[in-house]
Amino acid sequence: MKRKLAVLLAMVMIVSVAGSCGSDNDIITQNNGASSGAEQSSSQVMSAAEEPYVCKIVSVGEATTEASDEVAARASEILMEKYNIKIELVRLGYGSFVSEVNLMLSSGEKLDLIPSFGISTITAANTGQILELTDLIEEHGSSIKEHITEGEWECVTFGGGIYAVPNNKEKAQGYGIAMRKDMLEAVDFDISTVTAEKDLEPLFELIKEAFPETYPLVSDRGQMGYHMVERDELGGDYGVVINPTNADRVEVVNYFETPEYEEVIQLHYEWSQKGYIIPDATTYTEDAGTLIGMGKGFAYYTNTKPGIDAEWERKVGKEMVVLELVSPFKTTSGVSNQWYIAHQSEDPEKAMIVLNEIYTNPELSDLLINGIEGQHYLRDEENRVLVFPEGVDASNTTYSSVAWVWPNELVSTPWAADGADIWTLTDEFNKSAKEAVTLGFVWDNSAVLNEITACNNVKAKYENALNCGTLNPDEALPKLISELKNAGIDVIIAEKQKQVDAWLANR
Amino acid sequence: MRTSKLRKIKKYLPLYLMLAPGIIYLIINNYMPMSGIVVAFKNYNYQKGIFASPWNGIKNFIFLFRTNDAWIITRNTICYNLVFIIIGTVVSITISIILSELKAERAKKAYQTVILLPFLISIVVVSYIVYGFLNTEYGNINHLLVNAGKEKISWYSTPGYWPFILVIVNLWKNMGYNTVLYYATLIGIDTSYYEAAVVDGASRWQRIRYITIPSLLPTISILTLMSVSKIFYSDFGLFYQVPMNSGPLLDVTNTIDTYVYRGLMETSNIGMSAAAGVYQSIVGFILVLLANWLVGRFDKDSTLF
Repeated sequence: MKRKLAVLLAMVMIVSVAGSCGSDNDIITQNNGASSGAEQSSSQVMSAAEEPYVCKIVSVGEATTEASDEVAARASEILMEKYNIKIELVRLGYGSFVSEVNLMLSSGEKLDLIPSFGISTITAANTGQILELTDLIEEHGSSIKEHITEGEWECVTFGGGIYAVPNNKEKAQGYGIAMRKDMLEAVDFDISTVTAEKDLEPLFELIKEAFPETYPLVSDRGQMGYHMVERDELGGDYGVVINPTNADRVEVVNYFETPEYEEVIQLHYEWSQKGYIIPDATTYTEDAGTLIGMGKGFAYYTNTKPGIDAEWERKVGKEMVVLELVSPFKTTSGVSNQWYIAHQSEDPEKAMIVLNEIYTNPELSDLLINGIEGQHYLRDEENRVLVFPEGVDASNTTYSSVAWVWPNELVSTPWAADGADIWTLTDEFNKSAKEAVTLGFVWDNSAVLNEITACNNVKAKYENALNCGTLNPDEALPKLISELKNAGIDVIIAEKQKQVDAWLANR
Repeated sequence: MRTSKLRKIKKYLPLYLMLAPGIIYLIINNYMPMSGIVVAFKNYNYQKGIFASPWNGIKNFIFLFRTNDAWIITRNTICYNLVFIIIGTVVSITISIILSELKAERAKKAYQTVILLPFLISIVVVSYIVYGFLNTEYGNINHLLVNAGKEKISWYSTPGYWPFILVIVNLWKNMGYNTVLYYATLIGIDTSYYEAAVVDGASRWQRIRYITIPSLLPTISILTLMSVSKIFYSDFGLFYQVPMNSGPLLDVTNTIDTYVYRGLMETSNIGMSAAAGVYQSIVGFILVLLANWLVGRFDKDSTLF
């Protein structure tokens, strides 16, 4: 009896293990079945000659699954009419986007369109994660071509092939500082005297006296990376060109060895000693907007573009003033927001058709960017802007609006906080920004990966602490430079200079 | 012959069946993917997959040995693990012996729970508990220092303290688990040994030295051997989260796992990260074989295999 019971229990265990393996798959097929089942009933009305193609878009930003499904259903209606294509939409959080998309790309599950958030285009192209788009754009991307200049296409071309579609948005950046308007007005300081970063010191002194609980400068998630220095990072991975809008010399240098860098970190170290920078700045995990909103901080550095003050006000929840210290300039990194077609896309032509449609169709873009009318926004026809419905705001909406991630924000309707003219202003901003000599250069790092890995670890030791003024530059900077040299930074810079020279020679 | 074999199988069938799920899981999760080790020697291409990607020789391993930093991380990993093993074992055994000497049942249960609790707390939560102590402005320790008239210490910028801090945190967190394991062995020791020793006039310390510890030796050796196989691995949470990813501390808190993470997060090179994993596994494997053979020279019963 006991033996039979033992055998029975053992069998139960095995079956339950095997069964649980099976049910996992069932859940996945159930989900697919549910979503396609809902669409089946609506598609029976419009009977197509062939099966509609389902194009899966994965984007970034907070949104509930229900809201994304609703948006996808409405978007599908628009696309079904024209092209017999349906949309599946998934929105992933900022923190997990890169790792989840990497997983999707390696597992080969259904995926068509993805934005370039956190992904390096050239690495993705080299490792085969994304498809070459040159022919697809020729055939199906006619409207896209109207919005993108030759120089911008260069920024996404490697080895003769175009691998991404740049977003239409602000394509240049300036640098400045964003400050709490109420605190600024409470102290007696003339902003017009500030033309460079060091001119801010008297202001910080006044703020420190008037608001003892507040620190003039805070960190953003433990970092303070915006430097008020005009430079082109040439695709990242060390080696920059200082003042790239000056056409005389194109010299790739080690940013950490430049006098400009030393000036910045000396300044930050002095300020930190005087108490102008929040202590333990590198250990904070909150972003600057939250800290400033709480009253712990007064200001933080920022990029500048039309509508940046409204953006800061949304982040902080209080009125902000943005002072520009470096005038806007265009580099390849200005077009770093792009869209890719994943290598496992079952029908890249249809994916390109969808991308083209999003680029040109205001209704579709409004839907994907802002959500469902009535639920996530209301249209203010008179002012040609969008406002939140009763009870909904940026913190509780089920479909967050992140316009810069989508292909063409300029064709959508702006929000009231940005003003109706923001897109016209952005267009002008793009056209008026000075172009760097290096605009269009793309850097291929596959030859120096070992050096980059070693340098990344050296950088991790010093960069944040120096930026936030925690380490004494007199001791730490020489160590940083010598360790970088040991790690092989000069090899990286030589390689980059070689590629830049070759690229310049070909123009 | 045949019938006796069949009879044997029949006799042990329930045991085989109980073993089956574990073995199937082991095969699917650990042995089937083993062929994927080749990705450490390849230049991984997403469109070609693991097996069709072009070969890269040992290029993916170079970054682990090129620079001074690379030797620092190996030194850190090994030294921390050795200290963890030695101190962890000594402290766990001590505590479990003390536990076994307690008379009150309820006290024993209470202490066991309290000691085991930190093991179940997530390391991220632990890193914030530590932050509460070591924060420069508001931390408890600096508060005590200031009250005693001393200067505040900027803990997260001073590397010198961190080997001690990390050892203490690791001990606090993991001691409970090993203590419970040793305690379980301890209570299994035949009490008649102790009674005979008392009759012979052995002191408490002598009883511990001649009965308890030798009985624990097999358990100690198994646990230590298993730790030795993991000697090139590190608790990522302990070395990345607890120091709050602070740059100046890197020379004493960087281990192979955190080095690979920091170096490859941006370039996301699958071949190189796989190479690091292979390096850790192979070294661990060789060390376990060596250690097991060494132990076998002294006491055949204490070996792992």
